[in-house]
Amino acid sequence: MIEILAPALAIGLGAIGPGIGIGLLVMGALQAMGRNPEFAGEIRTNMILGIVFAESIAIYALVVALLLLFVGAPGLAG
Amino acid sequence: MRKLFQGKNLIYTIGVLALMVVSVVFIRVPLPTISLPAEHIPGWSIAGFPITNTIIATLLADITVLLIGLLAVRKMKDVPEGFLQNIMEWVVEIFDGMLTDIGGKKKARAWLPMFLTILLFLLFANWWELVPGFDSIGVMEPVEVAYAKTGVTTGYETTSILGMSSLVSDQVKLTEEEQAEIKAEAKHAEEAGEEYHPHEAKGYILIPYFRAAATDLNLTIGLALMVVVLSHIIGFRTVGVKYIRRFAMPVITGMKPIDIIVGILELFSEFAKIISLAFRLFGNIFSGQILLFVMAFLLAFLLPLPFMALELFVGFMQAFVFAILTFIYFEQATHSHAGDEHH
Repeated sequence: MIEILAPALAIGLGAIGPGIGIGLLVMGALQAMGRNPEFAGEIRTNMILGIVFAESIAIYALVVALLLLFVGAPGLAG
Repeated sequence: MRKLFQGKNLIYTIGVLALMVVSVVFIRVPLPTISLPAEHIPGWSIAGFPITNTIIATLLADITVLLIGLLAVRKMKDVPEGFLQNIMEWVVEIFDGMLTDIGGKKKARAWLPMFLTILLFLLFANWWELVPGFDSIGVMEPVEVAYAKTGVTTGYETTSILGMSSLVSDQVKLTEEEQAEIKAEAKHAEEAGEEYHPHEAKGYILIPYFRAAATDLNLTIGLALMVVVLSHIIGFRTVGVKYIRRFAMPVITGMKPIDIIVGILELFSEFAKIISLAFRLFGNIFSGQILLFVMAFLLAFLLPLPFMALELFVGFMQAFVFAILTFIYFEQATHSHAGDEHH
């Protein structure tokens, strides 16, 4: 049971933070775009770059989950 | 939406829907056996080193970058005429401008070759994954041999299509008794110094010839190590021996306690750099690959298409982020320590 739950918890809990982060990031970027539409292109590029960095935190959690799924961890039953 | 159901479009719509139904019923794609380490291709080795499928994909990406570079400069002219030369000049100009914005003209010119090499190499390494044949053409390995090696218990039955054998989606699972038997036989073969071969293969798994290069941690950690070590070499060359000061070597006198704590943090952040660079690339490409596998497994027709478009974007973005971080690390290494002026 625990060997199924462990990867699920790893990615599930690990995705909360980046999810909030990306939400805040896009909110800020959209507000900025709404205020000065002439800089929309530049803001969008930087927004995507920021999203990628925030997303990579979720990817670390995903890597841990995948490691647990396909390799297993010492001490875990099964 | 209404136009979809009129005249010619109606025929296309029905055709597509019929194909989807047919693909669900008849063309079932087996879910590939996912393994985290790169698979050794059976029987392939150079001087005792086993060749893995990611090595082949890495070489393929290398060859692509070299070929494009060579072809672009083959008939170089002041006013570019060829398609490739135009494209490459456009690429170089865009990134030259971008790096100049970040680090100034001198640094941009010095490190643009490094930046573009990493970018193009990772770009092609990631995009090759989307080419048909990657992850799907390879060697059949009996599931018994795979179990003895890695502990895989699920294989697939095979069928023959146009003289080539192919996996079908009917799963074959090894039972507990069979697993114990294989273990005993493999141990026996190992003691006799032979390779283990089952008498009769129950099912097969596929070991592809090609697998996206960045799904191997050896490549991503190797690249990250190279970048971070190179940034320190650049730091030493530009700042001099004083460069070591940022890591709070207590041997250097005249340091405040706060400097030592900051320095220890800096030291740790160097290791964090390696890990974050390596795992960001690896995680994105590996999870993308699994996503494509699962989508093709659910519905082989049309469904993987939007996800392939997503992977096209992710592949470029990760290559770009890796390259731009390389540049930023190089740029940071050339800053002298903030407190230097006061000492």
